[in-house]
Amino acid sequence: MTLLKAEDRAPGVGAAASRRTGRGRRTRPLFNVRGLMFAAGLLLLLEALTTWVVKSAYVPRPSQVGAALYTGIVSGDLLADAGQTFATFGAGLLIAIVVAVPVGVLLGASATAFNSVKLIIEFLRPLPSVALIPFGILILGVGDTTTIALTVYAASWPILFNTYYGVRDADPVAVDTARNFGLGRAAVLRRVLLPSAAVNIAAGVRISGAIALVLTVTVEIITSSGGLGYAIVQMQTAIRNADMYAAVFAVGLLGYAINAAVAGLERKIVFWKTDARDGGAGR
Amino acid sequence: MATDFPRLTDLAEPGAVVPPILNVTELRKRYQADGPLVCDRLSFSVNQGDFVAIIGPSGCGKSTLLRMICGLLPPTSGEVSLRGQRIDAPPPEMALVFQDYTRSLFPWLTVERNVKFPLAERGDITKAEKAERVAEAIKTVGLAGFEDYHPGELSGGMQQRVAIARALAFRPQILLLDEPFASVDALTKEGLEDTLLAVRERFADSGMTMLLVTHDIDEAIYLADRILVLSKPPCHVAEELMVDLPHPKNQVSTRGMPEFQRIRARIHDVMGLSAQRDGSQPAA
Repeated sequence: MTLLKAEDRAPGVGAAASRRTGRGRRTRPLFNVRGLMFAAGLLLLLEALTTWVVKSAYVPRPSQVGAALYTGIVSGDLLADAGQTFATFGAGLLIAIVVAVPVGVLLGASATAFNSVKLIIEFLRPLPSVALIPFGILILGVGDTTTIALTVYAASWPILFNTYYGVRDADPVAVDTARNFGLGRAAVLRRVLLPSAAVNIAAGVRISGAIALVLTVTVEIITSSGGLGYAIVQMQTAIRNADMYAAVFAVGLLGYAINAAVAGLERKIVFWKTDARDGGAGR
Repeated sequence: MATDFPRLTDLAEPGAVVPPILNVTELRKRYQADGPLVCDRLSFSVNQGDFVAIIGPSGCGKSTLLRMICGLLPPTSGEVSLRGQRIDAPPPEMALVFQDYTRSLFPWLTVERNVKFPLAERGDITKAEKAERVAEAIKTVGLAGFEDYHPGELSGGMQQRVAIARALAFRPQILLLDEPFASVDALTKEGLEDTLLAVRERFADSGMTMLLVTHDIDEAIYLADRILVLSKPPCHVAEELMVDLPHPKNQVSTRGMPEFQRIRARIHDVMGLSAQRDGSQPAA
């Protein structure tokens, strides 16, 4: 006996084909054509300006920067620098996730824990991470350890706070549902609060990703410890301006790629949030 | 279907008085020590296998009462007991279906995993039985074929069916429903009401008791065998009505019966809605 009435069926649901096209419903174009065209136009304009209007050795033409970028990639120098920056950044972000998520869950689940550390957090959070660079160098010296440590510090905050709010603001009805089915505190935390907070955690990681890259490159620039940051300083000192801009451009590319990757992961992991934003199939 | 627990009637001596499965005794609740009373000396009992509807005006404390019954909220005084055992924490014999399915279902789990949620970590049930219970519950509410969908991909009515299936897979002795159809449109509601009657039919052997809280008078009459009308706050049972309508019920003919109209008029009187019905105030 089927009890499902026709009017109860969501539009489109049931067609196997529409399901297989994925959850996005709107297919995302692989390239933002209009954006790419605009960027290309801007580069052409810049090329024209630097060729005929601003004739300065300090402002290389985009074509020169492009050539430097190409040489850097082909020779492997720029790729090695980018690899080092990415490894340092990645280690920092990963450690930040591993540290900040459990702490955020604990603070979100226990008012006592939160009240105990609230004062310290409120003092530390507004402190700019870059202000701690000298401190880091004093304690840990110059090297990857310092860069990673400072990256972890800066990247932890957004993840920590988003996790905290995600757990704290989990829907009480969802929690009651789980309690009603006999789940204890630990089980509610693991099976309801943590997945509920996943949406916030993912957003926190996206914000932290951007911050972590800023910190990694900044520390590299200041401590000359290698990576793209050091490459920028090196080329600037050597007055190899096109190469310097190529390194800057590489940082930009790295940041863009990281953000795209994190956002893509976010859409996959917390897919239900995307569903909700698109309106889903319901109602 | 396998019976998980014996009916009280099977255990009792023939002719013996069967004690009610649920007793609500002199229940009082205030949220703050100096706050107003939400419930005042609220008492009633429910027999196993009953379908009882609790109806009352908006804000009279219906949901508070239900939360106290299922052990999610402690009463200020008085007690709720299940087979004579006082309820202090959510008992494994009860499952609650919330009004707001969008908040009660877990959007990250598929329909199947949502239904399996209360069983997933239970060590006392075999894997095979879990799968069987889940499949049966999903079939009972008419969602077979939708196991791999996520709640966000389903309509409101279908989502509430998932919530009902989840409660059924838990195999409760008492199924509590907190205004389960208040958030769906009228047509969907009729379908869900009939599903609920079918569910009851399906689990009649195991003597599943149903307790429905609603503000919808027609829904209460259509579904329940017994209706408790609550007063304005602080609430207590103002009237108890037996519903004797023939089964199987039908959305058109059952609602047209004189008995249906008689009970409807009586509830209106008790709830003090008659004045509004006579047109002195515009109908809501």
